[in-house]
Amino acid sequence: MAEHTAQHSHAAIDHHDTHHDTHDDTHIIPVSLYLKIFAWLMFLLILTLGVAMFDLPGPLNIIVAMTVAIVKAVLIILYFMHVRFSSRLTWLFAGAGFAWLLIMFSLTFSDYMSRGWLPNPGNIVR
Amino acid sequence: MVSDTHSGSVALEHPTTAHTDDHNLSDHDHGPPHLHHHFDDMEQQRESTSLGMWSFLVTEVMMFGGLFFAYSLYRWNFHEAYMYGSSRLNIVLGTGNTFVLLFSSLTMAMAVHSAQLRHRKALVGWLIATLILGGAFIGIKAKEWTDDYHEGLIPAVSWDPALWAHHGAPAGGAAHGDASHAATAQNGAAHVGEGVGENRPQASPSSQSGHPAGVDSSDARNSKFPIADSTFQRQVMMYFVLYFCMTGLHAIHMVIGLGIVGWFTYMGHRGAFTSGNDQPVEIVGLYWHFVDIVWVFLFPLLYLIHGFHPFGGGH
Repeated sequence: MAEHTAQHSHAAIDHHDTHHDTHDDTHIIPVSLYLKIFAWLMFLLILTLGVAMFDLPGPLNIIVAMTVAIVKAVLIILYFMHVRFSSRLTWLFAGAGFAWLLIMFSLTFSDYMSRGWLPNPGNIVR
Repeated sequence: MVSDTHSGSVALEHPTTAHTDDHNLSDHDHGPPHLHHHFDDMEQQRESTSLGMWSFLVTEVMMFGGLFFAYSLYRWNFHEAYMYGSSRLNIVLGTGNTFVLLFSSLTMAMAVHSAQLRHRKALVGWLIATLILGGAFIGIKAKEWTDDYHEGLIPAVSWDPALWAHHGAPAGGAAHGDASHAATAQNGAAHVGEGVGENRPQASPSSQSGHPAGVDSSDARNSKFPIADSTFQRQVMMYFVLYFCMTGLHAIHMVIGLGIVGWFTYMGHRGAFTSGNDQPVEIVGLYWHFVDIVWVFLFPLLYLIHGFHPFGGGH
């Protein structure tokens, strides 16, 4: 394994001078893909505003707004942050953040709800 | 044999700069100069570095997450106050900021791309573009906060509900300067830091200096909210406390990001990232995209509760 590493790095050092080496990078994303994602993000921004122009029934307003925001975030994470082309371990780390966020929200909100501390929506006086 | 030399010398000379003096390749076949000793190869270093930044970003998600939770809780409790607070923000500027940040994520991704391809000048160009866009974000934020200051919307700093009736923002608009200065000075220190006070009379002499069109629409909007009610005012204060904490924390992250990108522009200009060591740019890119994602959530939650009515439509 040491010999292999030595050989490998010899070859790598030679290649370094001549052209970009991608053998230690998973993927170089083409510019066209970045531009496509950016176009989608712009569309989603316009959608965010468009949806805000209508008053949807019940909790739909916030659900739709958050869905659009989540789609934007997912696009940024997968493509701009390269997660789509990264190892499973990276996916795990990235996903873990949101898993813990979910735990914090669900447990804390259920704590409030189970104590009856959340009034009917819209009340300003308890 | 290579491994023996390798493991024997690691402990004594750990900084990679030590290697650049010693170009005896048979001793240091470990890899390129930017490959640190404790990694076997570039791929492992790359993965570890990236995971290190992701670990940090996970802690950041939780930090902002706490604020988002508090926001959610009080939005549920004080929905009407939140709608009013949100209506006092400038959607045009907020949208502009969102656009600027999304664009800066693109320029940052292009910078990483340039570093990977070892295009030094392109790298520096894209980093400068990112700096300009990030700076624009901070500038727009400064304008928004200045307007909020004059409109009596900053808790503990310039909180003055008496100003609300007369300077409610017209649809999408910003504050109008002079009258608010006079009003703030007149109402003075008694209101700073206390969100409530007695119900104030709606009309006061200084407020008559009007902007007729603005006052009409603001009165129309303001009449839908009980802005003179002290409990309501306290709830609106809760909204603004969270608004300033969340956007303030976000702005701090932006400024730190700008500092790092600025430093990297200098280092990139000197060729530090275009000889195979593109990773630092990649992980700063991760940080930058994270800050952008936080804003992508902040914008609809803070600015669009009240809806978006660019044509002066109903509420």
